Amino acid sequence: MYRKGIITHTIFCVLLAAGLFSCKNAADISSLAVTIRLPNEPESLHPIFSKSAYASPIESLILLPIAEYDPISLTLTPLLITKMPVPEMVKEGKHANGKVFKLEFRPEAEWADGKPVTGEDYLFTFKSIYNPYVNADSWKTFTDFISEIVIDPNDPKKVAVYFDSTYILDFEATTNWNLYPAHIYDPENIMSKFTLEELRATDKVWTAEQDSLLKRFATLYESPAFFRETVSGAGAYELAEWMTGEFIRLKRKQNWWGDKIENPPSLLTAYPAEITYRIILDAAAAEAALKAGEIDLMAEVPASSFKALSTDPDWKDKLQFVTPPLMVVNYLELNNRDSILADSRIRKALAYTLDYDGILNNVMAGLAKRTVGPIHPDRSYYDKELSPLKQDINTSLALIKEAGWGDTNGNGTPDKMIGGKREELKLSIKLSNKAEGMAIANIVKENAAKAGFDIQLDVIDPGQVQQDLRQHNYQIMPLRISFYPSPDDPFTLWHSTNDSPGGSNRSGFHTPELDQLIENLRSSTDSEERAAGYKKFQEIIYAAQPVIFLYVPLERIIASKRIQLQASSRRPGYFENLIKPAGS
Amino acid sequence: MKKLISLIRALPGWSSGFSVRFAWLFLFFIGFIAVFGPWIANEKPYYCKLDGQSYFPLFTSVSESGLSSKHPSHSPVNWHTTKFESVWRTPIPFGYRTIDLKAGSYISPFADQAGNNRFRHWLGTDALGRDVLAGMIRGCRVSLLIGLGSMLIALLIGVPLGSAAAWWGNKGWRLTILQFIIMLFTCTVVFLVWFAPITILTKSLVSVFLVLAAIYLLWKSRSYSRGRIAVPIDQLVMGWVSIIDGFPALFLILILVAIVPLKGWVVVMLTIALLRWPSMARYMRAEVFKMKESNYIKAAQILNVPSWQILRRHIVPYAFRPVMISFVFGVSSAILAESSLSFLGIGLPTEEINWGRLLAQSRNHFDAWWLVLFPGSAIFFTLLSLYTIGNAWQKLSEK
Amino acid sequence: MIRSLLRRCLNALVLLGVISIIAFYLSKLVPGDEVLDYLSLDDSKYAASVDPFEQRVAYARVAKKRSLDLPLFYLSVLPSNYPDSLFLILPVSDRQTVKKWAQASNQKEGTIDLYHDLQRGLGYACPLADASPAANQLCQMVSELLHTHDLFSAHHIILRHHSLIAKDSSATPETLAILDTLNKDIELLVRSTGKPQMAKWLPVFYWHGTHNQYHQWMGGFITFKPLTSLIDGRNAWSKIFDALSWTLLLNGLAFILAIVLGVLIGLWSGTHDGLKKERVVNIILFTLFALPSFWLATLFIYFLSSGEWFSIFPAGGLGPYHSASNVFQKWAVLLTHLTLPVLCLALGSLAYISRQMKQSVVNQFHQPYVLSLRSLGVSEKTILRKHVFRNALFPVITMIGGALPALLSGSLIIEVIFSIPGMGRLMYTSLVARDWPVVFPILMFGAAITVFSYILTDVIYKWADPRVKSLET
Repeated sequence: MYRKGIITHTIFCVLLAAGLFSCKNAADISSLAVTIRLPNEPESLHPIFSKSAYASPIESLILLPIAEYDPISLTLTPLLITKMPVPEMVKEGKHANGKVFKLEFRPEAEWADGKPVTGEDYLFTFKSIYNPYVNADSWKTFTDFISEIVIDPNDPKKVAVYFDSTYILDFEATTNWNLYPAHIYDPENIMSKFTLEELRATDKVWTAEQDSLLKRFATLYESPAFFRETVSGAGAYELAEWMTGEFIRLKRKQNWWGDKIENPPSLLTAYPAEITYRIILDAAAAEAALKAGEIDLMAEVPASSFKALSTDPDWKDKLQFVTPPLMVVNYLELNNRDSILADSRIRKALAYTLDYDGILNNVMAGLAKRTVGPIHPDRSYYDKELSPLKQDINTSLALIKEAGWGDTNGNGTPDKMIGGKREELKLSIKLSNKAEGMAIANIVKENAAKAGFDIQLDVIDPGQVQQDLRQHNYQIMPLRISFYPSPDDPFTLWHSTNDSPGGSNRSGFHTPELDQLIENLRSSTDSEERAAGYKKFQEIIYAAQPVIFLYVPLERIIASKRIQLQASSRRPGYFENLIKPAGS
Repeated sequence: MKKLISLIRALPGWSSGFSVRFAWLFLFFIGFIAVFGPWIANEKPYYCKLDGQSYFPLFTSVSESGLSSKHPSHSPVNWHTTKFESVWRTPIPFGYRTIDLKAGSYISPFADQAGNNRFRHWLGTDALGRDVLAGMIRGCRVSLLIGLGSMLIALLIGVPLGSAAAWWGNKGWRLTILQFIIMLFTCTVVFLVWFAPITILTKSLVSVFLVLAAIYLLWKSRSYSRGRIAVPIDQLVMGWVSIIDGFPALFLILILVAIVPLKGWVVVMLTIALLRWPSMARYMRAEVFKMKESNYIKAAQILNVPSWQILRRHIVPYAFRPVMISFVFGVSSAILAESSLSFLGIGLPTEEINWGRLLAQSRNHFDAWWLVLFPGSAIFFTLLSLYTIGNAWQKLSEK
Repeated sequence: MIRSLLRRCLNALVLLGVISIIAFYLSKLVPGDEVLDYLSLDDSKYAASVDPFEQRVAYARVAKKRSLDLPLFYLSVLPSNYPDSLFLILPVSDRQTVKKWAQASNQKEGTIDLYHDLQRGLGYACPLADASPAANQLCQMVSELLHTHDLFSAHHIILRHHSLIAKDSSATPETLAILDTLNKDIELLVRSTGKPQMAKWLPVFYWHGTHNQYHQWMGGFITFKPLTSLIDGRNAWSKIFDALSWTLLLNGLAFILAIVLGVLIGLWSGTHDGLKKERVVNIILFTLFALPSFWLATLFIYFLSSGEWFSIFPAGGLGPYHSASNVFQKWAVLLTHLTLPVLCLALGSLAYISRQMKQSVVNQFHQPYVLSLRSLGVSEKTILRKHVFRNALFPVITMIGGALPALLSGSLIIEVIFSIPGMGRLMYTSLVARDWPVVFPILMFGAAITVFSYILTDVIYKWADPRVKSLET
């Protein structure tokens, strides 16, 4: 008896060990638990509705996008689909002369409960946007160009997407958004009762029953349950816990389908077993937490503290400091419609008074780069021949004099007769309470005073800033533009059709020559022609100085030395799923 | 000279001890800096001579750009770097707004500062590169202005209202029917005026005129016969006092700063005054109540001395002392409130710098001990002086 | 006494009502169109879209959702030449324009007719704007008109566009009909400008009943209706409750510390009055009293937690409180994180309380009963413990009642410096973000507690010392 017991016992152990070894997945799931600081709590993790910029990276970890820009190569890589679709011309049928994109979802791709990712989910996400009671207008601007979606009747994982007209962002519209699981977000299966066509028809009249169904879906969809509790997708992580005001915790799925993929793209890998986002609003408190080891990574570190810590002998070896260049540019928006700023000489005079290096050192502690125009210096078509402006008070004074301004009433500020009235060279900067903007505005005020500009600072509510910007009720405003990895399209900011109340051409600067150039850039596909077009564009902007470009900031990330991270110029600058333990 | 010395001796608490004298001297020092601040710390020199021409930039509106256009050979003119033929600079050659980008921000007082001793930042620089000493000098002005100003306004509102509430109580001030009709009529006319199609300026002027006319008519129509209708002043005043007491201060300050189109610090001053006049009124009211019971006031009433005279000659001067003590404490709490608000970033316009603001900048940069020590001690010593004086005064009046 | 208590409670309720009205009115005066703020939150296409009709539809939808399309209060007073459905006009910028037209032309019905026709024009022309240039022109013209306050300029605009559109081939008969109607309306208004009639400027009162914003607010608040915060969509009550618990903890600890230490020190000072030791303690307390709490907090952080000197205490926040597993761990975390804030809060009040206590004790020692007790041979200790202490404590206790409101409103500065999510900080962040559903309950609670604490203090005073007669208020 005893001996039998030992033998069976040993056999059992061997079998168990063999079983354990074979159960090991292809990817090595580390037991790393990473804690990251979040400067602001997102109000929800529902991609269609969330507004906070901090929600998107977290959402993308849970609700994987169909395709996303790779952090390093900055090209669209397929995640949920097998490969990026190649657009084909449609020769006949109702979408003749249009394009079709054929998508195929990966066979391994499945949701958190094991159900496969199919075209039904793709169609559902679309339908949910077009439900009349759902507020998804920000998504509609992209998806409006898609004419029809057809699921292959033979293979639910194949979808064909039709475009009737050319759209420059067709790849993004087809693939670059988070996919929702239909059976989780529509448990009562309401949207399957409607077709996409009838939802998009602008004059459709619904029956009372249909109307109440649509309303029911919208109320359920936009409810706190889906904002904060039931957040589930095809990504590597699931929402484990969200303690309001404190932290959001994500846990890696145990048997995730993405581990089975051979040579996965970087966004389909996920190393940390647990990611906790600690919500710490105050930067100083976050820094203290970093030093105490309570958090592992912190981004958006204020420039001065970053510099101080990186040179502090006690800390510079205990932490790692990463500065990827961000795809944003800080500039001073000038309202070209204003009577004083309409004159390009005055704008240039203002541009020549600024001590750009001083601003860089003071506001950003040197952690920024100069740029000559609205193109990011890292782009291939950035015009390296144009040199950034330098402070030259004499040129400013000469330009002001040339524009016809002089101090005739002896009060120290130049003045001029405009439209029959004597106007002083007084300008106002409107800004909100943010530290960076205030610092820039103060320096601009002091610098410009050397050439005679009398600048007032007008601090207003952030909400008011948006309104005044829309209504063109300002003279100078410090702002920021973000870039996307897709090629720059100057249409939104510089074309004349967008110069209207509430329009996107905020500065009001446009010329017929520039309009033509922009239209050419939009439709041209020849790379040489485009390069020449971008060069000319930058030259025009440089010569006219419609707005004053200040700098391109570097993102400032501090992390503990126990992790290894991959920095990227896409927000937020780090990618959580690529964080590994140090030394691995 | 003798008059000056006797005036100084008359300062409350002067004789109490060294600490009080020190407190007064400190306050005078701060007051002096507050008044003469721009002439002590400024970028512009008192006098400069360029190409044989004399200028007094500090006292006239001569600017750097103006000089640059007049003397192109020296363009661009910079107060610090241009080689003037002769120049007299202020003791501290930095204005509170001057941004010294060359020196940089967060420079310690003990650090190696570029430039000679004349242009040294003796107390370091702040987050934007502005001189801390110049900022502290400016802070004196702002803090004292708001502290004293708000309490003075509170005094002006609270004392009359408090004494009126106590003196006439609820049944003291009686109107004859004629007077009542005049008051109602004026109220309705003013109400109607506000809906007329005229500018706000005209409306206010007309309303003020109507109110003055009504007061004049009321004065003219007063009679010695006992009026019928009582105006419950005490209830009205104490009602307002209760409303303001219950109102959350932070809400009021933040909202008024956003609504009222005056400069930020004026709004803060007025709001603090609005929040503080109830305590002044209550003090005054308590004092007047006490005095009303005293014998000689009753005697004066029997002798038919008119109320105004009693108030003016007998009550107010004597009730004033406890109110003045609470005034001193009120000034200190106003300065504290104002510093707290500017610490949080509320109220002051961006270009202004204040002790609270300087202190707030230290939060982002913990090793900038000069931003913690100097502004904080300035606030501390001001408060300490005020408390010392108030304390001593209180002890004196209790004797 | 019960009757006077009831009367005071009634007064208190009236007071609260007045405060709520004033606070509501002030919140509406804040510049900036509230609905536009919500629009940029709810509907980012608003900024990008140039279609005036779509903008107005979106505006109306958001306004309805947030109940901002109701009149402000139960009754409103308007000049009689304003149309009475003025509050129904959204967006607010349109309302201003219509007001200006009504003011200039004195025609109530005419202005409203013009407005309705403009709405119809928008509804017809703008959806067709992409297809037909005439419709586009009409759409842009109507939008421009709605921003023009001056009737004469408006007339010019219509005339100018009329001729242009009439020549356009794509103009439908309906377009032209709309243009004609608009023209007629404007001419009527223009004709009657410049003739102000004083009688028409008399104000008219409109009664709105309970269908107004204020009623919705107060009704919701009083019945504890679930309110959602505008920042993050959470239940406002739960936010307030969370913050309140932290504030109570912080302030409660500080309060207890200040009272206990203050009374003890005051007692000791009172009995040892005049000694050198006591003078030193007095000076220290006086200095502590004058120390601004935020400077103390910054100094504490600088010296004790920033690492420049020491790094004993954490610089703020609640640390790993929520991830701590058991009660002991939680309390350990709390101890380290809350020590500095509690100290900062307690030290100032401690100084004040101890001075009051000392004053009180010294007063008691001057009372004749102490002399008689001493002559009777009662020991000093017993005198202190049984008589002086209790009598001296009395005025201090009444002071506590006055400190109650401060207990619950939180100390904003300390909470901001130490990143503690208490009531003060919640009020501040909500106010800055214009999150009214959170601000109003906090406001009303604070006001209610202040008002009722006065009554409470009076009641305690009266109950404890029957000799006191309160002043008639």
